[in-house]
Amino acid sequence: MEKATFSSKTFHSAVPQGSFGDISGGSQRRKEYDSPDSLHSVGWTYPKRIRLVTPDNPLPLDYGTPFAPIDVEYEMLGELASDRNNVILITHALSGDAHVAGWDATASPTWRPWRLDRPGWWDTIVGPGKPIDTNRFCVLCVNILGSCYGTTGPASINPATGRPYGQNFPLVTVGDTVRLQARLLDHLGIKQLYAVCGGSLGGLQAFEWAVAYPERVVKCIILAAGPRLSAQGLGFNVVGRHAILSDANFSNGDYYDQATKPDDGLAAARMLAHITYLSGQGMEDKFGRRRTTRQIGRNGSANGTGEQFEVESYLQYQGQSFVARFDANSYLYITHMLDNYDGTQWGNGSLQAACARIKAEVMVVSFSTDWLYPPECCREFVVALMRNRIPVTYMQVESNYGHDAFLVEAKTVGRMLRAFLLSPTLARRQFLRGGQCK
Amino acid sequence: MKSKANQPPAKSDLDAEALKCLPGVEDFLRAIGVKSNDSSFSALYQRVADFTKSGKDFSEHAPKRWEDPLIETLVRPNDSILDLGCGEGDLLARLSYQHDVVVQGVDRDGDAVIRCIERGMPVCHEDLERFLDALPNQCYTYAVLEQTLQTLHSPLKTLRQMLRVARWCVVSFPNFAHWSVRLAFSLGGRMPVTSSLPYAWHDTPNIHLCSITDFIDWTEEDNINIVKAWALVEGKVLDYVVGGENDYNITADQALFVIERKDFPYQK
Repeated sequence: MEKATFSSKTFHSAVPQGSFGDISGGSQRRKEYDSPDSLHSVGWTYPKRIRLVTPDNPLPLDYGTPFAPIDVEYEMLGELASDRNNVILITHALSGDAHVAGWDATASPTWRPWRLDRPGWWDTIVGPGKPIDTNRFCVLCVNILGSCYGTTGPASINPATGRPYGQNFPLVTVGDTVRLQARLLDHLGIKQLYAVCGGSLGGLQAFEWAVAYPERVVKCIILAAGPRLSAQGLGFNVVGRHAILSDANFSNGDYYDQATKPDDGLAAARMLAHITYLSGQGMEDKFGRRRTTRQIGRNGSANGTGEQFEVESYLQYQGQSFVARFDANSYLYITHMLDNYDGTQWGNGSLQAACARIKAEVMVVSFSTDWLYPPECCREFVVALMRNRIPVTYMQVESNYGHDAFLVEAKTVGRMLRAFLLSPTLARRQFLRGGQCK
Repeated sequence: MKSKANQPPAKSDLDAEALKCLPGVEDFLRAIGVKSNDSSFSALYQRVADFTKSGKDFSEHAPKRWEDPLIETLVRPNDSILDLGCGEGDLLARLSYQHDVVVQGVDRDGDAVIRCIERGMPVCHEDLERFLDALPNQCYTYAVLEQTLQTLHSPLKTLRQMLRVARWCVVSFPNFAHWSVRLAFSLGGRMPVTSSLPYAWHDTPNIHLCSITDFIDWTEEDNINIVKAWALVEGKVLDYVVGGENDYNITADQALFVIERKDFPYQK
């Protein structure tokens, strides 16, 4: 906590919302959240962690040998129906966690303090009466493989050495993560998901689910994600990783015992990434060239006026707060996961062939100013599905919020999610027609 | 002689009795106050001009979505239908709830798309003219374009693309040669506003209007076969035999054509 020079109170109230940080958040403005006792909040939540993969039945990985042991942290909100067919799996993005909505009852000033002052990352969408309605659906959110929020990752202890894995952690992929989630569903006795829904890296997982387990997904919702990252997107991640790898404190990933961790590198990576989550116009609207009195960050820069640009203060703040809650090794592994994903792999290089496997109803939502997965990229899913005559729903949302829009444009996205989730399924429509129910 | 030629014709140049053979015209003439014995051109001219200036819509008898039941008669089980400009998905819902078919809508209006989603209809929020290029040859059975042709920037390119993407193309459009349109413009001297063309000149999305004859001319030029056609006359749907006795080009409010290419250059 040495890096955080501001008071702990500011710190708690100002940690970014959502996996990508909240554009309207920051220390200047506070959002109104649904309190735990609100009718629209899922209330207090209790993360569950289980040893899902044991050495006698290791998890096969796309790269490398089967891996064990693996712990999985997940949260389950809402009632599971007696036939267990009302489950919506929400797949989180790069820096997200299993805490999707509600207030973490286990958080404390020493354990995940950033959860004290704010609800889960998609609390605007998930809850009683909200678009993903926990009165109707059982919402499951699983922390991804390689993360640092409960599921086994590079910061976990390697039982063979008694020390954190660090860079000895195997390279993990979206496919591995989905395979692990499928194992969790087996463990919970859930045969079929009513829906799988996610944005960004979560959208890749949702697509992977629909392709890898076509029989197990009824509806698939992909927000702000395309079949693969563009060269520009790869480039951003390369620079982000470079910042971490070249941090003097990185120590080849074995920094867990050090007093100083590669915080500067991680903060720089996050600051860069944060720019890519916004759009040029969005930043212009939010910050412009306005200046503010220097609050955080290093002094001694060339600007001796005691002022800094608002955008500078915002990004520095985002970097600092991220360092306090994220592990640099996890960042490396998960950005690799994002970079390596290629939706065409199930079709031997053809997205159309991969999509031919899909049996779910698919909705794709893109955002007009998204740099990472621009509308043309998301549209590839749509065209590939239509080429297979598979019905698909696609919406391009006009937004200034860039990639972050899938979290920020809660009203528009929520309206679409609610409509798509409540619309009759293909099987139901067939039944109404008097045909055979599949 | 010269001054006489410039004067409006005083006697009946236009035979109101002949006009009355057109369905609906008699009601129209009565509505604008022309009596059966009042057949002078200038009187008719003035009345039509006054009427079109008043902005009242005379022909209110075009039933909404009259094409849908006809399209329903076309589809067979396992057909796939691409509805371009699907709006709120009325046709999609009708087909997918009552027939064993695959449907897909495309529309560029965001609110309409959300309404489609709420009804459970698969729909793409896209500009159809741009979007058709991305689809492969012959991936749908029918491509439907209801009342949208006249709003497209490049209607012929789109029709050709539709015939590439689908086996058959179903297209309906308002007939710009309907007598009410002809009267409103030629006698009234104003841009026609009818139930099929309900917009003022300044707010109309219609940029490429055509008549039935124009459309048939195009099919002949482009080596396209008219499989089936219907005309909407006075709110009634009539079978349209191209080259038959009735010239629907003056009586039909709207027309619906099912067309295909005479040659099939596209491999599936």
